[in-house]
Amino acid sequence: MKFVLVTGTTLSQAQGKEHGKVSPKYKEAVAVCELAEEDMERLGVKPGDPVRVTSPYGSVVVKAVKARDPTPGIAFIPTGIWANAVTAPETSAAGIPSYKCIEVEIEPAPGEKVPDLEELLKQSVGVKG
Amino acid sequence: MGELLIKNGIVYDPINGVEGEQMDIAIKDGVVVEEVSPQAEVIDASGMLVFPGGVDIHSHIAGSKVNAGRLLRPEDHYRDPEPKTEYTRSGVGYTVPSIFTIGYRYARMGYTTVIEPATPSLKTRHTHEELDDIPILDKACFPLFGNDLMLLEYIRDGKLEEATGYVAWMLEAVKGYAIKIVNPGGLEAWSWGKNLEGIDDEVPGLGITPREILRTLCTISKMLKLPHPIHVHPNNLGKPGNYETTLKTMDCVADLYEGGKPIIHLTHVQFTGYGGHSWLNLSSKAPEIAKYVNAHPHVSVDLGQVIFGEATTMTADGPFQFILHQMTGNKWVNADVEVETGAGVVPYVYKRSNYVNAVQWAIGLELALEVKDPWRVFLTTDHPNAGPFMEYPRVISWLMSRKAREKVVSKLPRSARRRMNIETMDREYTWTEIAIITRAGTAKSLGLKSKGHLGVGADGDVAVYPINPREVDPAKDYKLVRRAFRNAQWVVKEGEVVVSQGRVVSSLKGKTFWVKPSISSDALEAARQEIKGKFKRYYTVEFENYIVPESFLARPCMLKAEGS
Amino acid sequence: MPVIQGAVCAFCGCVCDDLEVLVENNEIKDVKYACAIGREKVLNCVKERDPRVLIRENGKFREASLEEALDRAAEILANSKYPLLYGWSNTSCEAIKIGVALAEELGGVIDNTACVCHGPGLEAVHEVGVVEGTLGQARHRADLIVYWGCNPTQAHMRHMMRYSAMSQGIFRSGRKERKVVVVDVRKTTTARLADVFLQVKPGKDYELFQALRMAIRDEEIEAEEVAGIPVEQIEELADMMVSCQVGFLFFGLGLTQSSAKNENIAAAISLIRDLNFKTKWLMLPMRGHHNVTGANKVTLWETGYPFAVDFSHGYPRYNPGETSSTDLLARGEVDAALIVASDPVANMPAQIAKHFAKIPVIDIDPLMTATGLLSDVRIPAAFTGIEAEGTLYRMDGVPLVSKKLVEPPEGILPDKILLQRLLEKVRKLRRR
Ligand SMILES: [Zn+2]
Repeated sequence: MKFVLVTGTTLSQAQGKEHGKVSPKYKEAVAVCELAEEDMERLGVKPGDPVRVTSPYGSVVVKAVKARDPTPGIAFIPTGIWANAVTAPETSAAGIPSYKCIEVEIEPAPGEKVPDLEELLKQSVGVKG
Repeated sequence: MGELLIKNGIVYDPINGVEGEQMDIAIKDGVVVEEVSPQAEVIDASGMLVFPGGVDIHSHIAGSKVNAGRLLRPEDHYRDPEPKTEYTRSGVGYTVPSIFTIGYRYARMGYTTVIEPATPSLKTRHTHEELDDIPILDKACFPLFGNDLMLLEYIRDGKLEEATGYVAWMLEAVKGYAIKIVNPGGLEAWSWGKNLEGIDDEVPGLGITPREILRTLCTISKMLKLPHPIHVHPNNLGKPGNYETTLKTMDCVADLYEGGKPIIHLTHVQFTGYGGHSWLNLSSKAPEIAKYVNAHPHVSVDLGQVIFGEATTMTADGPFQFILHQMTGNKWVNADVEVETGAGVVPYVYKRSNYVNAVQWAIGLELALEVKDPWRVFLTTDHPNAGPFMEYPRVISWLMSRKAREKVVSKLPRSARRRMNIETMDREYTWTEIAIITRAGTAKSLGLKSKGHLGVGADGDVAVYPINPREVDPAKDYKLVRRAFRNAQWVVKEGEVVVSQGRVVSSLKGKTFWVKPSISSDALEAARQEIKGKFKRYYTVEFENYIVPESFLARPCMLKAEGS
Repeated sequence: MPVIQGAVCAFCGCVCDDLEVLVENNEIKDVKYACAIGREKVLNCVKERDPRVLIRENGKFREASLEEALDRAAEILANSKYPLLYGWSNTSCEAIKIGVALAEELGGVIDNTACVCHGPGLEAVHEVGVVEGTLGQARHRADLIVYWGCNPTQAHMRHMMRYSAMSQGIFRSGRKERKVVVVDVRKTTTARLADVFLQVKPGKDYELFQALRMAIRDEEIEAEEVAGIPVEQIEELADMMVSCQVGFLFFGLGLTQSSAKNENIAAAISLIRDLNFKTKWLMLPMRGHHNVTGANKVTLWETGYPFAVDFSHGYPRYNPGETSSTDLLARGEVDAALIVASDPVANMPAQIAKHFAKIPVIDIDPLMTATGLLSDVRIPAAFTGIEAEGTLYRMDGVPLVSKKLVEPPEGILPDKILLQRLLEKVRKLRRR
């Protein structure tokens, strides 16, 4: 199903960040995708189920959660490395990439694991050595 | 620290009555002395002009509005890069240079002390951060007082003692040097989107007038024995016909004068000496202003001389900047500062072919030529409002040479030439008078006793210019004058050579002067308690975090206020 | 127990400076008045620190001494032809100044996180100017407050209480004496507190600004709706904006990071500027990191430009899109990176961050981050604003000095000192 992806800061993301990016609290806070309830129904996923989010720039598995600010058609992933697996590198001569309003495809990903930080680094950025 | 001997220069030191004598200047441990040992480093200044280091009384070089100007104008910088050298940091010019470049460019012109004349108290920590970053120069800043809500309320309530305590506390809290007043009351009005139009208009919500603000602050400045008088940018700046407001502003404190040094300084009077009813019939009222100044020793002025070309206007006068934006359509920054003041920035180009700009150009020079006492008129371009400070040598050449002026006048629109008086003025400044309006007079006005002269005990700040005043006739060879003042042969700061053969060879750190007002410790403590008690109501920061401790400054230099 | 009063919160751009911190045996026991995020940071961040100094060898980290790590870092930088020095928004102005000197020395690029947050707002100022005021102007005078593309209830939690919608000012008191408007693509928690909420279609803010500009000029908008908002509602908002006494617009990343970017902000600024011909309006960006404003300001006064400054010609050059870190990384142009107090590997799109895996990276940060995991030299630093004092600038440009609340652990140094030592080492190597 097609969605418009918005990324941004949230309270728990900010709190999680202060614990360090490798902390479980951080992953719990940001490796999620907020969806409106009706969108979840249409996708056939329940809160806590893994979903795969794919954009022209990459793909990532995150946990579906109920949106606090539900707007059908809009998916929200908190700022962080999971979101940035799919955000757009183009800066349109302004220096800033496009973090908001990205067209993505979201599908259920039963059985797939939400990668932890180091796994995701390997998948989407690369590693050294 | 070492010893230095500047030998055989042609010295002008008006404070000590030296007018073009060939003599040596000896410096030891950063200070001028009678003599030095034979081991001293020697500079051969034979056949060259020697002045004390320049002292600029009004130039916007540091702080939030200057930085806003930099942000507004990247295009200002693109064409004017300063690459790094062995001794200097890199940067960019032009009208709003980056901070290191400001220091180097002033030093190359033989200036060693420069005053930032408008700092919002709440953001003065920022001003100090920038001042600290300026290489070579000594400096100071004037906090803005004409629109502080707490102060205006004291004035409204007739509480002179509290108002005095407030000013004393504030100067010490933010490490300021003198009382700056910009559009008194007008910026409080601007916080509501309004302005004032004369010195007897009422400030909205407070019912007091600019006249009362000016008189109170003038009284306070005298009571606190501040070394520099109230430094005033009056109401109605930049409006046709405003010379009447300027005259009233000067006159409103006349009765407070008790002899001695002036008690009010009117700044960049070019912007406040306009006759006419509209921009279409703007005329020069410089002669009227000069006439008043000549008859009233309680006033001093600086020029705000217009330079044709690029400028960036920046003042605390928010509503004036808005008017300028309205008039020009140029991009505009406004920056209000809660319960204290405002600021605005608008780029501007002065064109020789433009009627208004031509008249503005004449007003500054006419003032300089008509004010008889050079100790009460100072050279400024209100950098970067009327032009960048790098153009001072051009202004000097205009003042020293009627021929240089005529060359410009001949290219001005006929219509403008009818509204100015400069063509009838044949005064030509002497070397001594130039030394007064660029260092001796400004140092005196600031009460900086170790600056602006070369007597024993003075700071070892010296400029040696590659021109022989005994051979060159500045009236004829004004281009040589210009060239010499653009690039000093040597500049010495605190006894150290900082410019050699016109190039910067050292980036030593200058001092920042601040004034400890003359007030009893009990009165100051009472003010502190009172302000602390009310602080949360007015400000969005904590009382203790507002205060800038001396330790925050790189090289603070406290001056005890003892008046003139 | 010693209580530190007037402590300065080093979390977001609000830089609240009224915290009370209870310290016992060099440990922070309690924090009063901070928001949930600030409290979390002050109370817990030091517990999460990774104190290891690490050097990568044959692809693996090994522990090293600080001296060895600094030597290795200096070598990497001195040997690079075009290094990137990035981060700076969570450290002190004193550290940033050394960063600028280091970038100049190396002929590299210094860039701060504004590049990925409010940089477009700065670019818009180059174009059209801006009409700002300090936060106290909102608190004391604003009777209409607009939050556009920002969510203070989640990201700037005390903003509304301390400075805006609900603050107690001299001439306006609390929420009841003000109107609040929220414009966002989602009905956020902030939107729930608004008198008027406009749900703008994603990516259509620019159109909405232009429609509002037309409406305040009383021009006919020839459409039923703009950006998903019925024209009637736009006209009503325009009326509100024109008829208030003092209005204040706060905007967030919702504008800078979506499609029109700097053009969104230029349109917002133009709207506020136009409104000043009718009544009083001011605006401010909701800056995120506590000293990103300082990073912009220091870089601006020292180089003439606020971010993305290139020294490869021996003097400052600036051209976002060309000299911005994101573009340099995306094009693979920089050959080494020094990251200070930031995590670009996590915060930039992976397609950009990829380049960090290909070049030597030095990371200076108290915490282990994604950038740390990818680094070749990892140096732990003290927490600025908790274990080290430093000058910083609030989102409205008000300067403050954060306090040292506790001593850092033995051997852990502030950014400022680490960078000073690094600069000295680099200079020594380059003189050889
Ligand atoms: Zn000025």
